Amino acid sequence: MKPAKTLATLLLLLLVFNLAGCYDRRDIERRTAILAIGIDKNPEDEKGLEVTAQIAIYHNVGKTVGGSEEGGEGAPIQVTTVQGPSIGTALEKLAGMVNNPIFLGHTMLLAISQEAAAQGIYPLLDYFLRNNDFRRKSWLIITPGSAKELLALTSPLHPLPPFYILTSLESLANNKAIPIMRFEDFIFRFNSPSKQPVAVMLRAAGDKVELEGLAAFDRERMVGRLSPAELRIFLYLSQAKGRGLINLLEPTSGQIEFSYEIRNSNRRVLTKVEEKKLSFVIDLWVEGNIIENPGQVDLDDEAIIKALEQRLSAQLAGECQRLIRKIQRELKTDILNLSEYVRARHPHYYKDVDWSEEFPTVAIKVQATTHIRRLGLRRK
Amino acid sequence: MKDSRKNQITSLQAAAIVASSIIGVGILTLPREVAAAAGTDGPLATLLGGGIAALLLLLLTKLGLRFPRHSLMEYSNMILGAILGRLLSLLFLVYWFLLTAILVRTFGEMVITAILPNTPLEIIIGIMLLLGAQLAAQDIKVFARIHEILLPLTIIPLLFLFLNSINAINPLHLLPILAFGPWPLIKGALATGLSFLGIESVLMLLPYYSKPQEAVKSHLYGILIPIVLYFTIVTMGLGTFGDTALQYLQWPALEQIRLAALPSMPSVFERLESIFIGIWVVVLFTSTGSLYLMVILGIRQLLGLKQQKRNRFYHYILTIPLFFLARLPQNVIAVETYARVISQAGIVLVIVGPGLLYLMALIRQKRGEEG
Repeated sequence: MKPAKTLATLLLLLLVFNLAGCYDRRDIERRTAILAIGIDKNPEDEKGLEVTAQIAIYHNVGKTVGGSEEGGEGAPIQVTTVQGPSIGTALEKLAGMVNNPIFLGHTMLLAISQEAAAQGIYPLLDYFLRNNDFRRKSWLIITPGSAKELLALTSPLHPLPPFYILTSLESLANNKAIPIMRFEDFIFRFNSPSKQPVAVMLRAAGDKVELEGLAAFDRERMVGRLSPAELRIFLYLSQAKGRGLINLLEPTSGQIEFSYEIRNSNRRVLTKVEEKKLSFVIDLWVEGNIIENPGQVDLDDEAIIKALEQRLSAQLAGECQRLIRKIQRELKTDILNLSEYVRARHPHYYKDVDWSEEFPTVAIKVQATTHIRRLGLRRK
Repeated sequence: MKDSRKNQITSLQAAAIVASSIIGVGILTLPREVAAAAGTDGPLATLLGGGIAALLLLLLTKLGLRFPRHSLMEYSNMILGAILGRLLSLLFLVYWFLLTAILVRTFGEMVITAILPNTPLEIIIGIMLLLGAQLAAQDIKVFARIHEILLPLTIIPLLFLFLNSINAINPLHLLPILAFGPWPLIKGALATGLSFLGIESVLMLLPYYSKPQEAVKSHLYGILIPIVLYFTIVTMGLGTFGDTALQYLQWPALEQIRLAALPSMPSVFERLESIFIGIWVVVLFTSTGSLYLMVILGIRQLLGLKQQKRNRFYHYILTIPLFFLARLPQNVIAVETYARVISQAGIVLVIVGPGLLYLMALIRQKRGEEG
């Protein structure tokens, strides 16, 4: 090719960049970002829903989080409630009330009232499952009161209310006080026949949120709740690397003898089928430190430590056993996902037996091994 | 027939063409389809399916090597006679033609759902068809070089993206293995068969190889890449979701990458799916180009036309019927049904056609002249 021709070609190529226009460019502030969504039953209509949305007000958000100097003085979010027979209809109604198209890509929280969840949660989630913008990593939480109340809460701890709830959840999850149970996790449990979904419960308490425990589901219906203390035990039984506190009580007076903090845990699930009867042994192993010794127990002897470990193990195993009894007898739903072990290890048994009928009566034994590793900065 | 066919495709390029012709729309739905057929035996079934595909590829290569200077369209005439031979060639042509249409359409469906909801389907289909035609209208040499360049650029990031979710795997999801006998395994292997289609491209391209004696080796290397990739995708999908939850997902591979975040909590990198979709467009571009080239070469040889210059207007004419064909299915379920029917027919064709040819060639002692 001649140089001139080459040059002309290159120039023509440069023109191509002009073709890449942004005819449908939409600036971020030209969208109505919904940061959190709450779903309640409509108090006035038996079949209807009440959807509460936290809408970001961009020019105020910048001010509150200390970003730019410009921006208004008002609240960074607006809480709006709409009613409708389905999620889609309610959101469409909302779209008619705000000045820009609704965008779910920044939604980080989906709060559902216990009342609505007890009637079946799937119809409330299907819209979000089909939606391409909605993030799978949003948290799904259940609230015993109304979701509207939870989303209306403002806390001095964080200028943006949805972020306050979100960071609270993340901090709880980092401390292993709650399982990481986001939208995606809930749905995958829901869609696996060998699992049962659970969701974290939060309650609005003044200007704070409070952990209410764990909502247990039987497929799409919420059937009961574990208290925060039971939730800890649930976590030791269902996942590794648990943390938490155990108070060892003096047998006669009931006073706290000392407090032991679990720093790490692990568990093994053993299954056995004997004469067509299935039984489980959950082998729990924890290690941790003594963090408080108000009873002034003498700790300066290996034998004493060993004895204390034994008592701790017995207490932990007892608490686990109590929780399992509650799950089997009261909730009657396999939220520990034990069926998953049966499905994987005894496929023929699993195929022949209706597990949901079998679960409440199956034998589950817990063995605990406790290790006290450190005593803190004090001797004795 | 004298032409400048020889010395166009190196052995490395041959491997790349085999690999990237195979890898196509399949990766989106493969985990779901395998899990539906084989349950937790999915990963094994994928390996078995890959093994079968490799054997088949070996047969196709052997057949091609018997006639090192001719392609399928030509030696089917030599072996089966003018009428039956043309008929078989025509069947292959129709199959490639339909497959191109359904491939582009699946691409369009995914792009509309995942990234460009407001863009008309026609635009997306049209652009992909034109791109594929553009690739196919080049010299075989250029075509081969493009495959060679693009393959590592797509496979390495794809493997990385999928391996990324290794932390999300629950080992229990991968059990039990082979609990219900070999039947689920076989069904699963058949289900992967759809994703391994594309191997038949060697039937048309073998005469262009510069070193046909290395064809067996490079083809086996070529098919190893999709086997490894598919095995990874299926294992990751099954391990993350479990075999039942997997079946609720429209595009499990996309969902998998949506969930992968680095590190998992707090997430620093999220929405890796944009990278995935970007790579996937390239993957589809190479497969579309391959298929389109098969159609062009096939028509040209079937009509006995001579080697022609590259990048002519008539190379692009086929995009018009393809475009209307791709628009035909009414909804996403219909697209999947059509895809399944076409690829099942394809499997039968790819097994029976060359099998028959090879057998007849053996019986009738037919052999092409040496290169």
